[in-house]
Amino acid sequence: MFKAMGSPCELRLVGDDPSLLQDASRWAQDETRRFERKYSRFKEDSLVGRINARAGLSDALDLDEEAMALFGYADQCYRVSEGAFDVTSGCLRRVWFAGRKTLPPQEELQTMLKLVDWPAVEWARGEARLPVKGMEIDFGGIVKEYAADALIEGLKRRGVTSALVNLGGDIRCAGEHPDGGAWPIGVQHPFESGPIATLLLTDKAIASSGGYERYLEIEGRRYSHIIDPRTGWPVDALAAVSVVSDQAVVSGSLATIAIVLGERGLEFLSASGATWFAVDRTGKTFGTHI
Amino acid sequence: MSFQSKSRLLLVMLVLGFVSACQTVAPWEREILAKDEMAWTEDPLAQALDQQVYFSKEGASGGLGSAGGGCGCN
Amino acid sequence: MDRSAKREHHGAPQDLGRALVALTTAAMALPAFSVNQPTETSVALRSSVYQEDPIKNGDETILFGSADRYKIKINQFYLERPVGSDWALNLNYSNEAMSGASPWGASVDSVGDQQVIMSGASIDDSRNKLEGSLTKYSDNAAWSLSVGGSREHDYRSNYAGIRWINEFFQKNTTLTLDASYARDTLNPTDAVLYGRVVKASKQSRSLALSVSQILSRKQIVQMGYGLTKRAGFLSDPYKLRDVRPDNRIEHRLTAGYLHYVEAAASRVRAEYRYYWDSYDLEAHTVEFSILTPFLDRWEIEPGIRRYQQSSASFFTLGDLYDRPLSLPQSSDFRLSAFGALSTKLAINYKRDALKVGLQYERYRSKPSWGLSGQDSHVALLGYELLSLGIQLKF
Repeated sequence: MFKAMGSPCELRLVGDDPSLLQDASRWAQDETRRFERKYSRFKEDSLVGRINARAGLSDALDLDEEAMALFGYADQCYRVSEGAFDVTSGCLRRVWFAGRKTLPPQEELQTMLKLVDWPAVEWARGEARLPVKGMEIDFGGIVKEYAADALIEGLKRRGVTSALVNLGGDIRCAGEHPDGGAWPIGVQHPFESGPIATLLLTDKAIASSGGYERYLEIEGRRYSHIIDPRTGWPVDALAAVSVVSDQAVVSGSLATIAIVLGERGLEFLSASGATWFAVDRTGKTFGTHI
Repeated sequence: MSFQSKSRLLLVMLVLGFVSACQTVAPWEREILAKDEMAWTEDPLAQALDQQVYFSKEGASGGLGSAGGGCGCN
Repeated sequence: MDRSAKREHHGAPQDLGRALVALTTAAMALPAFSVNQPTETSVALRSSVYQEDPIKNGDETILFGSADRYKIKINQFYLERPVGSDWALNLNYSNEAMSGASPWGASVDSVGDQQVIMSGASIDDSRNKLEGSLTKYSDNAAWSLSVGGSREHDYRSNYAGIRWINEFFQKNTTLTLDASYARDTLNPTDAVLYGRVVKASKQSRSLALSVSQILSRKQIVQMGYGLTKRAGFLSDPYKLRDVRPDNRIEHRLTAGYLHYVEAAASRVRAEYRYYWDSYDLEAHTVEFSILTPFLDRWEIEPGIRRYQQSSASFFTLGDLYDRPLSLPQSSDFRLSAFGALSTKLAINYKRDALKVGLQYERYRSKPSWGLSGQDSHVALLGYELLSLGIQLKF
């Protein structure tokens, strides 16, 4: 267990060779920190930090193959969700900051929404630039899940074929549980502590969006920490969504898109082809049955 | 035009068309190209069947690739 | 940018089913996923039967023997399975059962018309073929080794091949190199009785290069060249008079094109092959098909194939018994000038990981469609083929 990416992370490696497992474990933790150093918006000298600091200026930053692929992936998410998933929506957190006690006035939201504009971001030519001052990129919804995938793929290449990687709730597993059979993964209940369901997964990834831990309480009502980039308002209809697929990064994006879409998100999930699970604000559950 | 020069012309046209028509398609824009029907070998058994049947009926043989899989039909 | 237009868009996205595929494809661009190893196991089965048309005007054109030709049944099995994180295993098995008569020889009468001599009794034969291959995948390349063999009661073939695939320019260009070797042994039935060669062998060596290039989001083109050298006993031992050079060099130039038409969710496929060899045989093959969906889970694919060849330099319409055996000669219709037209129709049903397909093909050949000369071989073929295939992925 270790802490990275602002959340508790867990790594479970299974195998017979202790020195192999130790080397692999060390590599995995280093790799996780590499992701953090490169993509964290909290670090001034990270790639994302530097791009955000230059918003509105004319100089652009070079993107390497990995960063280009992430930008491309973020672009696909935007298109597939028709704007419901937008990595420039992080600035809305300045409106919906933790500890806020009153609802923001509409003009404040309108002003901030002008900065939420993924299509305006310049990146396709291999250099990234944010055209308007105040715009920011937040890969938080993609990098953590991608890191889980990168760790499992990298572990497999290093000879560890059974493992579980849990980065702040985004989980990917490979091979068999140490006791044999599939990995049992618990899906958190959005309102109560403890799992709402336990899934048995082999070579799959599960990611969730929503949950009860982070919310704002304003004038007696609870508001989710997830903001709809199209309206500027917190999402409402679904309390939590979990998606299972072959890649953590895909599960994570589908879960986030679904929760922003709200009720339409259920339709989105059924048509997507993935295995999923959702809980709405009344506690009613939906999903494919495993 | 003789066959030799006809086929050479076809080849030149193909290569030119090819070179001028290229765009680099980024990996994340490939949902159409990733479809089964956009693969050169969508159905390996159907393709093998065709090759086997035509080879035993015609003088020309093979697409590309293996010399093997001979049959008693010289 | 018009913000109001964007905000009004609260509806669910169109084409929802694409979401998982679109995101997975985009995710595959990320460095961690760049190996091309197949992600699932595929199994396929196919059963086909075809019947060659009987010789036309049998009373006039057959000297003796049966007018009925081959009826062939083919059963195939295919398996592809990922192994570990970088490897894949492939297995291919087929069984072919044939019965019927085939031409033994031909002669030309005083008016210049050809008559054929057909094998009398029905020939019953079966062939079994098994092939396996192992592939290793790495970031932008793959290596493959394959080994196989086929067996009939009078014929044995063993072969091995290597393939190398390399991708360039963000996988927009794919280069494939193939090298293979085959050794065949022949033990014709009733060899002593009919004065046939008792045992013979032949070897084949092949080299091929092809390049596949993505032209746009919906188009791919492919070009290739292949060379094969055959040496050994290349004649047909069952024909009354058939002597072929013990060397044959074959060339193939191929081109292919795939185009997806989004508005119709359909795919167009076109292929061309130019073949020429040291027997002076030249052939052009053009194939064209359109795959289009209809109803909910069904697809239909009509196709057409046109083939044309010239005759081999040593082809003779009638067997020439006064020609010395040291000179090549053959009246095999497959070495005569002819053309063929095939019309095909396939109907598929797809559901999740299952695909079932039924195919029908009508093949017809005519001497007047050939590339040179008017050989009018009587034994030119036509046939009707029916095939049923199932593919499963899991």
